[in-house]
Amino acid sequence: MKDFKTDRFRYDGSTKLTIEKASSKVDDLYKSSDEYEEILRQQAAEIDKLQNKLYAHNRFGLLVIFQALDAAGKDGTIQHVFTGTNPVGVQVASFKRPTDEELDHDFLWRSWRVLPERGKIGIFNRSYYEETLVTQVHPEILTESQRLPEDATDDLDKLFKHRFKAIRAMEKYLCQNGFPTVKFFLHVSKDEQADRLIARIQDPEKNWKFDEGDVKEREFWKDYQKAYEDTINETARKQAPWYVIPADDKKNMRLLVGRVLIEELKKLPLADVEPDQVRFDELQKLIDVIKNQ
Amino acid sequence: MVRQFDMTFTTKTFRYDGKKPFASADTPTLIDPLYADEADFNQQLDDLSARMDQAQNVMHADGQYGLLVVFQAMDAAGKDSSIRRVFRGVNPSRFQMAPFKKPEKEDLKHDFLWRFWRELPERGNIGVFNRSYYEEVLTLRVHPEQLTKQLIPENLLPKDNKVLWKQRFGDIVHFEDYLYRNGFPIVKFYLHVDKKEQGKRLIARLEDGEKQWKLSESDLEERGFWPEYMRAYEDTVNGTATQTCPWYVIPSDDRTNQQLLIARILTELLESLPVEFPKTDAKEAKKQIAEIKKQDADE
Repeated sequence: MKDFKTDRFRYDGSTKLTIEKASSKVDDLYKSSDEYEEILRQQAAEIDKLQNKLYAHNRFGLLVIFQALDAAGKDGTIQHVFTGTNPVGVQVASFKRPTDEELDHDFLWRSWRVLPERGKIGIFNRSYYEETLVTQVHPEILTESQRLPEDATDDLDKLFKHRFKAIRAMEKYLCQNGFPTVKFFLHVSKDEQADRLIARIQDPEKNWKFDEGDVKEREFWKDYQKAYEDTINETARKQAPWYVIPADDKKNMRLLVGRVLIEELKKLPLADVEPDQVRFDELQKLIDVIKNQ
Repeated sequence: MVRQFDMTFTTKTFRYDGKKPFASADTPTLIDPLYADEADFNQQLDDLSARMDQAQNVMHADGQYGLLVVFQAMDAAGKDSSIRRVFRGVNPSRFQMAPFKKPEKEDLKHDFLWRFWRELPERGNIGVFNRSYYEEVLTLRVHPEQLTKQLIPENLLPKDNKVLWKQRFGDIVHFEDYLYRNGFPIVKFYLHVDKKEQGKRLIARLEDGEKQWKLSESDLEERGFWPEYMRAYEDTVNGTATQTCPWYVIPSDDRTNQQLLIARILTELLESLPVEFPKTDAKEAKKQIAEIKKQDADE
């Protein structure tokens, strides 16, 4: 695999994202389909190894967030990057339209309930970021569905500022408690999205995924790009970085996501479990018990 | 115990659905290898994984069924390793795993099935229970003194515990039948391991620095109750094996065989579900494509 740096896709608050300048394409990281498969498999094995270490160490958990426009490849990326890692070590939570019960609570409530445990990788397919994305494009959600106090929605700029602050504070809190967050924005171009939606409609094995709403949302493309740019700039932090991943080529996208995850997992100070002499002596006694049973 | 099976066996050989009785002592914990060598094993398992993944993909698209897979066994029989290996090829977004340990205080404030309801899989997903409500007729049967912790009103507890276990078998059969009729078939694996083989594995675990943390003193205490557990498993399988929610008793002294058998049974089951990709409305599809093209032409 080509040697490349993931830094140029990383946003941690030290540089500003200008979405128009961020590319949705990247030079191929693989020479052939076979090579792609091989790298993907190796990456999954490495993620598996690191997750196993995470589990034995039992202090950290990793939260991985995927955000993107429809058909950018969230589902497929999660499937391909994590297939091959221990399924028990990975928890996926997919967020759809909030239910009535969820709307009866504050906007972070439903996410808290499905945060990963220590030792695990928790994946959010969409997340609380929808609360500053889709709601920024369709603010009527705030007034009609979310039933916020009236004075909270008087000034929407202020409301989103508060939300960014709440999200930053939550991610900081989680990091301090052993749960760093890594966030991916899968950046797809509008043309590529059109091709994929059309392919989805035409493929009998995929058209069940197609939702007419996806076509309607395309009308708001520019508004979404703006919302993503704001959201990423407001919530990119060292302990909770965003990665803006070129998504026009699915294979490159998956390899990049896999590479970033490996690097982020390696940053965690996971010490090897130290052998303990007292425990060792106890264990020797246990071995004798079994032998005598 | 090594037992020669006719090599033309099907997975039915290991299936208990109420027609034939399960006798623990007469049932092998080891069979001839189903694979030629390690490469062959990996190949077979990868093929089964791919088929499982495909079948599950259709189940998810179809959206009507969910599958519950229950694993029960003595310690070190291979529950964790089987789950890890057999489901490795399955889309993690459609896989839910729930390990069950001793009930917590909150659990004990409820009926004995309560904590399991909360973890059932959604339609389209595979849910795995690593241990399950079956502990309520296994561990509890071996240690009936734990029943008092369950806060069941004394006047409702049968005087004879035998009656209680029978009642619980009935509760479980009804629960599973209900789930089945709502689109959630259940398959139950009992990983049947020999006591000596378990002893070897526990010692290996104790000697392996990376696995020591997996072992506790209480695992060894439970070994002291081996005959009681075997009796409890036998009665449980016989008391709860039904056509719709069968038990499979898997010879588990060889982990690779064990994993191949489990994968084969799950693949056959998933492929037998009456599911298909939803049909499309061709007219509607054309309209949507035209709409997308128009959006981009306008720019």
